[in-house]
Amino acid sequence: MRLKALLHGYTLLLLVFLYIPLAYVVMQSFNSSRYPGALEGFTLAWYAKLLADAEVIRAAVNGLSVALLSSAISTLLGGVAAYYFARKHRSNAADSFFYVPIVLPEIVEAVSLLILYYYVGAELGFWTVLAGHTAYNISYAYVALKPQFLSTSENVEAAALTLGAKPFDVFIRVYFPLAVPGVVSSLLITFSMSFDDFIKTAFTTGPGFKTLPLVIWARAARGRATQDLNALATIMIVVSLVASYVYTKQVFARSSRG
Amino acid sequence: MSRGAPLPSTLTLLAAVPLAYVLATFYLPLLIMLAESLRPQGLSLYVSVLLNPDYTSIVVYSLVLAVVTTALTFLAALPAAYYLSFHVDDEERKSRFLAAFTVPILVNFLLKAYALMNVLSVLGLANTYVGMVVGMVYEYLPYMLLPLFSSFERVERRLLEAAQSLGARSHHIFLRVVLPLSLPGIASGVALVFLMSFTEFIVPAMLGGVYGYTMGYLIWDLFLKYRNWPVGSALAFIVTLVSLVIVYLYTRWGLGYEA
Repeated sequence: MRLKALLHGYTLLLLVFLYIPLAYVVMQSFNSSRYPGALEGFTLAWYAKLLADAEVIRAAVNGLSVALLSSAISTLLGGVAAYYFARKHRSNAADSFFYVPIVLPEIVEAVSLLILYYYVGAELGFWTVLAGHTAYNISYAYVALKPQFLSTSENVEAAALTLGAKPFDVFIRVYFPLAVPGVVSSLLITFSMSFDDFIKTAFTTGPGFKTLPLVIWARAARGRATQDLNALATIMIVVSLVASYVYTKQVFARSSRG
Repeated sequence: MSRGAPLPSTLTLLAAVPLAYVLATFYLPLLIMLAESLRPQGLSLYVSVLLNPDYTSIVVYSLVLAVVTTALTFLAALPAAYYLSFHVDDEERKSRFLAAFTVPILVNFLLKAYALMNVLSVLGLANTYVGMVVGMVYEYLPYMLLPLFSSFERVERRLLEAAQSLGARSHHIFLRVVLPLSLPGIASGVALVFLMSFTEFIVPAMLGGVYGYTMGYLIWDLFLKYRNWPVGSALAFIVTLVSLVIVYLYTRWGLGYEA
């Protein structure tokens, strides 16, 4: 059983490795030292500085609006497709159709979209970023929702229909409530895919429309970590931790229910 | 009863919308990209790209980085995935561990690279090859661990008991029973991490310094800096083909972990 103890220790170390950088950034964001490093004292000054930073606030609002719209649109569209193909006998082709955008490297999607936008003469900015994010988000929504729709027993639907429900009612009152966990994960995944996106956004945006990852990139690429960047990182880390807590709780609750 | 029964035509019409959308914003751009790569001189551009050492050296460099990353990520994830599957018996504890390994996937990729940059500069590893590789392993570890874990979970425990009662030593059981039976998860983790790390841009650019000029960086530059779209498109199209072949191979192998 020495092996077991060894493996246990190793697994914990691996988790430490995964979380230490995040913890370090969080810690530094409260450090009153001008540059990340030795701890000098507690301060909220970097957060104050961040809130007064017009570029950061604008980027946050930009990212939120794109992500909210994209997650709503793609969950709706991906949901319709998932519902439709869940009820068809053969949907392998459809599955592959929606699966490819997930597995293809993002940089390929990004450059090809840029070429498309160039040739149709689209003005790069909010709309082109939104359209681009939604392109892959539909696939994520499809993948998140199809198993939900598949697992809704046909008997449940048959029962509802026998009892006199109209097909539309069946969808709204039977399918949809049973699919709520899938809808929630779809919204969460697509929202964070969009809000966190860097490469596709960088290629499909125009001057003046920046999201937070672009701001972080532009500032961190100057080669130095700064305290206000650490404060921004902390806020984003905390938000994703909360979102992923909700998400994983749901996923693991679902899988343990069988 | 409803499955197989004709679907309402309004639903069919509605389902056409997402299909058309993905066609227009994903598949059509790929075709246009292919056309863009062929526009100046047809297929001979591909030949000249593949014969140009300036490009091929970067492709090979990225391949090596991807192989190194995949191998190290696999070695790092294997013991932990094994431990979680075979030595954590309490389901509650198991899912807590799993959640802890899943959560980092949902933290912004760029942000994780930035966070690691902080720590690497303290350690004096920022802008080094080692630092970059640590960054790659850091980012991709969960993507390797989760498929490994889930295929370990599917290994029939009675086979292990059988092997044990027939006198196999534990490392034999691992090498001859557990690993072969877990090939699906291994293939899926390896394919996933290899694909992602081959075109990775953020980590090398942020942590690699002069060592960070990889395939992803090259494509980035060809589009946004040198404005050489045909060559950029050709490289991106090669990447597309390679990715699709890898994905096809591992789904074909009957492994389909996600599905």
